[in-house]
Amino acid sequence: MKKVFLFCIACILCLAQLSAQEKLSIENVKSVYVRSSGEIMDGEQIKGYFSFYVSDKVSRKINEYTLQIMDENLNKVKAITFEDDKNIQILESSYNGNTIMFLFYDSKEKILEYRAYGFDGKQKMTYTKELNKRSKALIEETYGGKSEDGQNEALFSVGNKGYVTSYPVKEGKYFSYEINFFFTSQKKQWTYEAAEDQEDKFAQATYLGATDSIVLFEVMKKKGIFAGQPHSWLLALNIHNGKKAFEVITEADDYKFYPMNVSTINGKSDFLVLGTYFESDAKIMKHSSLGLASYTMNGKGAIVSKKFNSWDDQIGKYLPVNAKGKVAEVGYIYFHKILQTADGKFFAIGEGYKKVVSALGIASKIINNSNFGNRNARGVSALKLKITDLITLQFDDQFNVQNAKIYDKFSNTVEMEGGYEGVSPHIMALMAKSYGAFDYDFTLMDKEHTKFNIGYSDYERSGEDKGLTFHSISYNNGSFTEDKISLKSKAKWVKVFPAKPGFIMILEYYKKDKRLEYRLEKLN
Amino acid sequence: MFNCLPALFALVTCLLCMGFQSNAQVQLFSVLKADATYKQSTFKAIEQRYNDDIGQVKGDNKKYFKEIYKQRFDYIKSNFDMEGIVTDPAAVAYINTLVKEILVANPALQALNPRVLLYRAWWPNASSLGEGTVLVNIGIVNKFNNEAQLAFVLCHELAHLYLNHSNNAIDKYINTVYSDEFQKELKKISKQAYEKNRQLDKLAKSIAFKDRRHSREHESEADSMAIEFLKNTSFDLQQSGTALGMLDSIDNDKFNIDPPLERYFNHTAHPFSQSWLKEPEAFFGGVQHSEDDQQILDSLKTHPDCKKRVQYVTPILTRYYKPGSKQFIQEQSFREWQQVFDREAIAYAYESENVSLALYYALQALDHYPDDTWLMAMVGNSLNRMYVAQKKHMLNKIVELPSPYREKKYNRFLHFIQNISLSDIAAFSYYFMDERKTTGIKNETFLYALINSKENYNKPAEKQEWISYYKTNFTKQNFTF
Repeated sequence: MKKVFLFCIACILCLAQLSAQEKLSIENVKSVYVRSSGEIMDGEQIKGYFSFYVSDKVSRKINEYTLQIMDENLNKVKAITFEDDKNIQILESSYNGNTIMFLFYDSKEKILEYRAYGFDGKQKMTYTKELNKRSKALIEETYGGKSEDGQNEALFSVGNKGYVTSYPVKEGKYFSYEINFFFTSQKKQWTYEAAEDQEDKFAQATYLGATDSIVLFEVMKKKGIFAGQPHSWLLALNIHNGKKAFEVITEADDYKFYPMNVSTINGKSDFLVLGTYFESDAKIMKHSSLGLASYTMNGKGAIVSKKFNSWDDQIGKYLPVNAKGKVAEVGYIYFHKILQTADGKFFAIGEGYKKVVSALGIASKIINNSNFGNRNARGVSALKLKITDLITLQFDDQFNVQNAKIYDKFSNTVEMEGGYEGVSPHIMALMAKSYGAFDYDFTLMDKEHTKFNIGYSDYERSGEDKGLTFHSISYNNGSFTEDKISLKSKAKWVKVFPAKPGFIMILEYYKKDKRLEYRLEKLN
Repeated sequence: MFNCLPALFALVTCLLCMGFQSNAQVQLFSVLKADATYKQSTFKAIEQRYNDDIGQVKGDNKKYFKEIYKQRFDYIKSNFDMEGIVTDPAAVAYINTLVKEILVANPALQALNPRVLLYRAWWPNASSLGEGTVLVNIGIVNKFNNEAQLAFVLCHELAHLYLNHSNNAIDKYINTVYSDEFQKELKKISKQAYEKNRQLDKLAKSIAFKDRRHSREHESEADSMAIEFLKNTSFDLQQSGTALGMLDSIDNDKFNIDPPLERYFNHTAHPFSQSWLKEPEAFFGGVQHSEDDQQILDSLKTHPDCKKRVQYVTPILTRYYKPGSKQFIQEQSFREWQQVFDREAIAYAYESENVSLALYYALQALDHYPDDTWLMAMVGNSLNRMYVAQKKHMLNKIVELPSPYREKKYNRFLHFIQNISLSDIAAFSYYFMDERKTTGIKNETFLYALINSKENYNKPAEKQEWISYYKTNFTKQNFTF
């Protein structure tokens, strides 16, 4: 559950810790516990922050909570107080210009609850989903694995229409998902339960985007959780009634296509789906991709046109890349994000990776080989994943490659568990992504899609800024600028969080003073 | 508006929250002179008084009295450390002339041996700290129309001292919260398993409401007493009512305009962009207070409504009407000091790491004093400092963030700062200073800003040329390059 950054240090604002001689004061009797804090998203833009704390204990089972809502400049704009079960926490929050919706989770009662609040701080609607034991376990295991800082995973605002949500459920042996849509203007909601007509044992949905009439998801399906290769489907649901508009497999005779993003086309019901593509018989966990593709689709799910940019042809003109997509020195590219700006251009943001020998793994092998008595000691893999440079690809409005750039950074490595020597570097990259081992941090775009900032970290091993640095690549009005922030500080630790467009939030913890300082800083 | 420290705790907390932890820059930009001897002797007297107060504390709660006295002393000390106290001999002599006029006419006040200190703070306020020190912010001096109004403020703060309001408030607070009854209540609450914080909030509110009600009563008492003191002087008593009437609008900027940004920062080589003025939509409907919130806020006011204060004193003023009384005893000095303080408030904002406010005030004042080269220099210096901070990604340590709670004009200005880039800041300073160089080069502070603007805009040859000029034309140099 990485999405919500917990301020453990700030947990206890005030605690009664008094010696016998000391007299009591209101301040040292009062206890307030911060449970979680996080961003409030409006589409892909951060609009504010929330801080959720236990403001009082009401009974054995009930707490009084205060939900402090702050704007993008960290000004407190509203405090909402309510009583609820002592186990609830907030997973995500989203804003759509009229209301803020929070996703609450009660692990003890196994409940997911969506609540929307209006400008007056009053609750406008609520929807509760009781989870069975298996679904609860599934959510706790998987939540937080798909998204990055500054992005929601389960709750999304769809313009001023409402909010769409998606979460995994487990019914018997079936791994499935449920989608809900909550309308802003009316107390109306629909639910789509995929398990009702699901054939495969495993299906997982990821929200891609919406047009005026449909919401779109990429659905990964497998015959069984451990069986075979996953297959990618594109699911569209009618915004107004939740009925399936279409569900099409993205694996055709020519290539297998794995969508990563959806872009609408102004004034048209057609939309663009962007992603990586593979040979039709490829195993995506094992084989490397052939390049990047864009499909134009209509509202019925039919492909109107396709455009492919292969590594060895179109992209190869801009990068020293071989047919397998391996860039000289950089290795393969793991794509974190593909996006489209208002000027029609497309951008893909990736990071290099390659499989290399691990000195630690070899040492571990030697030790384990001599360790006859312990058959379970697996040690460290003799091969590890090396994460290299950051790469951006730029395309025109017809998805023709226009430019590519490699941003040098110090590489880092991810050790794998013993026995992983045989897995492909691509599987290692998927594992590295789930560990949060890539240096890429986030991409933030403004609501108008005119500018965006890519943020990544780099631990510099030499030079003037030796130590942890944060880098940003900003796109504004057709041009790129780069910026570097040294995170050297007297603080015990420093962390960078996404903030409003063009800004980052720097959080510094001063251990000696038990002080947590945060400030917004503009990128250059 | 003038504060009398009814609850020192709140003030101390408030000041700590204002971020005054930085080391003030050396007073390079102050328009006042510094007098180390006066500073030392004044501080020594305050320290002596503090030690005497601490030495005299008795009773069960002496530890808590000592804590509060220490907080009060530390607050005054921090103002000295921050170079916040005006030590310029001429400025000190000026304020002392007014104080003397009051003390000579009121032997009861003279016996208290008060210390009236000018404080370089820009916000309009005056405060009586209870141990003999009265702080008069320069931000209030330059808001009044005449000396009689300022004299009323001095009398008001001296009345708090005379009536021992601050110390009484401290006594009351400590003897309430550390009383057996209150401690018993707190102990009872602390042992409760549930609804502990609700009970504490209720208790805290009851003290706060009582304390603020007393505070409001003290203000009215001080108004009445101030009139008693002022009527013995040669000042026009009617100005007391006028001064009270001004309090509702005293927080308005001295030069109450939106800085004409387009006029200052539009250059053919770097044209003004309207996008810099863009303000985002208020998030979640902005800040709204419910009726309940408003009632609580009203109950927590430290001062009565100004209209009520005026109504209350008007009959007394009519009764004491004295023809031939004066609005000024040194009109020209008053006007001159107001002009000096207009600048000094900017210098102090700049030194206090509030560069956004320094720039905002400098741009406003420049519209009023268009030929003032020191103000031009402060615009340049503020921009240059912002440039250096932004380059290190530390801009928000010296500029404030927009907030729905801020004054609207200043908030618009802060949005402007949020919208401009590093290169915009460099360009603003470069062209702003370059266009004014013919007027400004005789001013050393101007030259300092001019040279730094060349550095930031990457004009090394121009920078060298002006450094040479500086070294040739200024024998006593305050700045090094």
